[in-house]
Amino acid sequence: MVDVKTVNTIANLSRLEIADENKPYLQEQLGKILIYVEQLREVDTTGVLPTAFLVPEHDSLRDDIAVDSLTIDDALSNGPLVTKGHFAIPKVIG
Amino acid sequence: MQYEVVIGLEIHAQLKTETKIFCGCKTSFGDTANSHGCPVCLGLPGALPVMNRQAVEMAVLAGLATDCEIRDKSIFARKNYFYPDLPKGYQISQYDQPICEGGHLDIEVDGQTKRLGVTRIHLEEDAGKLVHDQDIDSLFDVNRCGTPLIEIVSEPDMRSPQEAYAYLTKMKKILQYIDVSDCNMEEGSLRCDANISLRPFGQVKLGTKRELKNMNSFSNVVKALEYEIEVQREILDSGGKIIQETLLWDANKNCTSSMRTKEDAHDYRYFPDPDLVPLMVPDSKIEEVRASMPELPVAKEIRFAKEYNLDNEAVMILTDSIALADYFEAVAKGCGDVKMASNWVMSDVLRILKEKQCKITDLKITAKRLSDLLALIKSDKISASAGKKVFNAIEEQDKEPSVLVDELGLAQVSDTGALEAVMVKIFADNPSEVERFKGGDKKLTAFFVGQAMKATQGKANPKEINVIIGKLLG
Repeated sequence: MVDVKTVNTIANLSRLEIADENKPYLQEQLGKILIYVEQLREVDTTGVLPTAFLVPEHDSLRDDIAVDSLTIDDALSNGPLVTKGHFAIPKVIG
Repeated sequence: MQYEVVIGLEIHAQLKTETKIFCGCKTSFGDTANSHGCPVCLGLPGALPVMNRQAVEMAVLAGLATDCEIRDKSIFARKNYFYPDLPKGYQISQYDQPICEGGHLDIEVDGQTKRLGVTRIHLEEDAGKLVHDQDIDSLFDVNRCGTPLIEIVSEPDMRSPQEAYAYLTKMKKILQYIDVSDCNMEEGSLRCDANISLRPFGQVKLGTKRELKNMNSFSNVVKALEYEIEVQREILDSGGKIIQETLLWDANKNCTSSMRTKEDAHDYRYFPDPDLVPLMVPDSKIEEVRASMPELPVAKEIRFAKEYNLDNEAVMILTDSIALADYFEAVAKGCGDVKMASNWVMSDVLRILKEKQCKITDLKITAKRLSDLLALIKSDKISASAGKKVFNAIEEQDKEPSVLVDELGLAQVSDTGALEAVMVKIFADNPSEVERFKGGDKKLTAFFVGQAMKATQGKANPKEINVIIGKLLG
């Protein structure tokens, strides 16, 4: 079980509003996810370095040469709301 | 109670690359909104970032210039946050394995040298620009999104706003010397945040820090720090506790306001970005970058003081940028007179740069032309005051100094015969002054020189006049 405070924190970071009556359900679900991941602890990892990358290390850099960007219309075409050549988004303040 | 002030700084500098850090879109400033966007920087599904080689080399250069260790293998991490200035929902940055670590920088405050630690320099992408002044919505522009940044984090080693100012000035000079950033605070290519806390003198444990943001000039950093020191002092003196928070400096009102009211600390959930392989910087690359390092500010300052025998103020002015320092050196070598070169560069050249608001390399009065002009003055071909006229004329007309001397008729008359004739007439016109001179009133020399200048429209060589006065009246 995950406590309700943790659910509230995650909801806040995710900018999600969660009704109080749904929280016990989420507590249980998140708890189950943690138990599922816990199984990894059963593997003996003594002497094994943490692995974040599976591709062998190699030089994968790009030269600093400009290529064409998308047109403004194309760039904006996936925006749900577009105003004055910009993506319009719900008002946020710094 | 007396408190010790503890300050650490974070500098974000935009790197002067042609393209963004993870895609080939241009980084140019001030273009039409959303004209520099592609699937990578717009965060479209499936697009993959590829690291810019130039940005890596610039970060290594910055690390070497501040005596950092360069990691042979550094890792990019995702910094997750919900704020709509990055379409991906996370910023690609570096976390526990940054490219540069453990450097330092020496500053001078009140004649004392102090070494300040540079904790780390890491690579990351800039966020896009949000426009908030709309009625209903905020507007997003992707152009700045993905511009390469280095974040330079200092140790909490500064003990006053003045030390912070000295650190910033010095770091900016280095970044400009190694040519990795324009460091233009107004355009946002250099940004600075400050962490500040107070603790009773003698206490080892650091006090709770607060972070100051939104200072758009170095002097505003000083003002914001001074303001915050007073605020924290009052809180502590009245028995209160400092709560860790981020404050925004308001330069118009000269005060701060709280940026985040939510009391939850940010949880960025950093993790290695699986889209980017580890960044490898082999020793051979480090040495290649080191070989490209120009003379750094401190080395140049010391050399200028020694080689040219200049005072500290002149050294600091003339080494302000590599371009100015190179210009001065070319003039000094060209005309063979350091004192003359430094005087002209610091007064006339800097004045004209200020008037024209241009780069020194754009001046019509090139180092070659100025040294030619100074050589003309030194060899008495023209007077110093005529030299100023020629100087301005070069900038206006884009012609060689010798050509302008002829065109403006400013060549100094040093022909003894011609000058003697002029003086004979002056003596004849001023018999009483001649009598007084002969009677011992040697101050009248200046009068006769003045008359000679008047008669020749300023072209007479004053040294010659003096000789002639001595010869004819002595």
